[in-house]
Amino acid sequence: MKLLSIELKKILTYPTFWIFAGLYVLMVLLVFCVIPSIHLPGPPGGLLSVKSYYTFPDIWHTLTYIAGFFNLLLGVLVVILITNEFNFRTVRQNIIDGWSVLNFLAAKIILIVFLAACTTIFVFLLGMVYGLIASSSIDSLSIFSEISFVLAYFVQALAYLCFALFMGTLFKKAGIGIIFFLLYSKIVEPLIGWKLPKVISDYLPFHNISSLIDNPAFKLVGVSVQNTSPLDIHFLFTLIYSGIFLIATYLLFTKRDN
Amino acid sequence: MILKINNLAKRYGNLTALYDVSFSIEKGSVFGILGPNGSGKTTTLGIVLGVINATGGTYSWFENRTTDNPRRRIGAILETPNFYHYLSAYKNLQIAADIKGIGYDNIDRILEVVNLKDRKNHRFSTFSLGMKQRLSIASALLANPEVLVLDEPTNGLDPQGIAEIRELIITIAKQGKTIILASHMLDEVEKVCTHAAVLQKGKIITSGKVSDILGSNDIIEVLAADIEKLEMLAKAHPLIKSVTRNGQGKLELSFLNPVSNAEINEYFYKKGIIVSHLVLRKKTLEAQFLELTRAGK
Repeated sequence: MKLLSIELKKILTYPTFWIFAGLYVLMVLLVFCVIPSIHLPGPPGGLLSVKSYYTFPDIWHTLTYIAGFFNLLLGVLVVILITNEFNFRTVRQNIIDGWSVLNFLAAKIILIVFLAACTTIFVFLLGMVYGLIASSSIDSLSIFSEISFVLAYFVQALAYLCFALFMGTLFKKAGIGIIFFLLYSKIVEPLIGWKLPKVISDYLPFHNISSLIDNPAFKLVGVSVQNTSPLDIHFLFTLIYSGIFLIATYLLFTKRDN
Repeated sequence: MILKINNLAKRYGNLTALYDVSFSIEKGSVFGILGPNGSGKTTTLGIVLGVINATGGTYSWFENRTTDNPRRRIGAILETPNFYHYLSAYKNLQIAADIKGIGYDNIDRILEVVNLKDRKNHRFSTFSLGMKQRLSIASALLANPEVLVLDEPTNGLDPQGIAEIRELIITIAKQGKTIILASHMLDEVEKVCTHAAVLQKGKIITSGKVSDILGSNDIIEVLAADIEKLEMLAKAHPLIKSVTRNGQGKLELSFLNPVSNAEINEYFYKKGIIVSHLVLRKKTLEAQFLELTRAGK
């Protein structure tokens, strides 16, 4: 708790933090609320109505899938927050002032857990409000039957942030950290995945992390295996990858001079 | 014993920044680490403050008798003022206080000591270099530590600021605190330190009491028509330490013990040479420092 309050003191008057937080909220709201008004082209009469995606319980799947895109913003924010510590040399000062390397890292991990929790709570509240308005039949069974998507979203966001923490620590400079964060997750890994057999490529870090919540539109064409629960093997692997990113970050901190 | 360092070494790839550095610092002393830029002062302090990993050697604070992290009992600044640029001076000190595990009641008083009270709610990024330096000293003083580690504390300050900081250091030392001061400025070390170690290219050249290291510092400059004879006679003087010919062709004599102008004039006169020029000069500290570091090569 003490560590979290110190970390919050570092960021609560930081304009960049509020810009990213605001952008995240705005983008999720915008995309989530605009989609129902778009009429998708498709085989006439063959489409499920978009509306079904916005009622309980499917709304959890739809919403967490959309919010997943904007984990990117949170990741970039975390890269900035950690590289600031190197840029300002406050890592060094925090240690001189009395923290151990482990204290410093623990504070950062607590912060990213906190950020992931905040966004998850936001997503949960948004889903509740929208769902209650849009759904015709409301009973607790239908509301919560796919609530595990919200848990999956939390783990997914956390994994992104662990990777961002690792990238920021590895490169120390915000620009380079962000570029490698984006390049790896959006280009390098998909390219590698292309060349590898599917059994392997499905479990590369980012493919795995995004597989946690499938595109809900797959339900349309009936290929989704993920109708009710995202708590599958990808969930387990996401946790494992998060752990690996954190251990790698810890090793970087202890092996080199701060 | 406050700090004991044994055979500390640090290599950065091929470059060796520290070789076998050993010294110890007694409680209540003001210990200067003196050396030109790049001689290993900051590396040494960085290692004992736990932010740089040593390649070899050991160090111990407070004879290892502290169970808690010893850095909580130390106030330190290393190299540059390190603060969150977008936070105010006050907020930055709050974070330092939180990490030290102390309350905020000391912050206003400390800001007054370093003359930053009216700027306390301004962002660090708006500060001048001198103000940043003073804020880092405030941060070091915040927890009323037993030991202060100051790496070039007067860097970037104007003459008045330098004088104020030195005054402050002397005041703190009088309270019985131990101060470790790294500096490339000899007069700074001479003015405030009781003990010193001189570092050159990562090696300790000499260490001990400041009065011993920077001992007799008078030289006498002489000139005569027959400079060869003068030089020969000078070298024969029992108290002479060194004779060097300076750029203007004059001889500079330094002595093991203080010798007056009259004595030296009389000495040459008795040996049958008339000195045409004779000036007693305080050897500049820089010259002394160069002498020390030259001897270290």
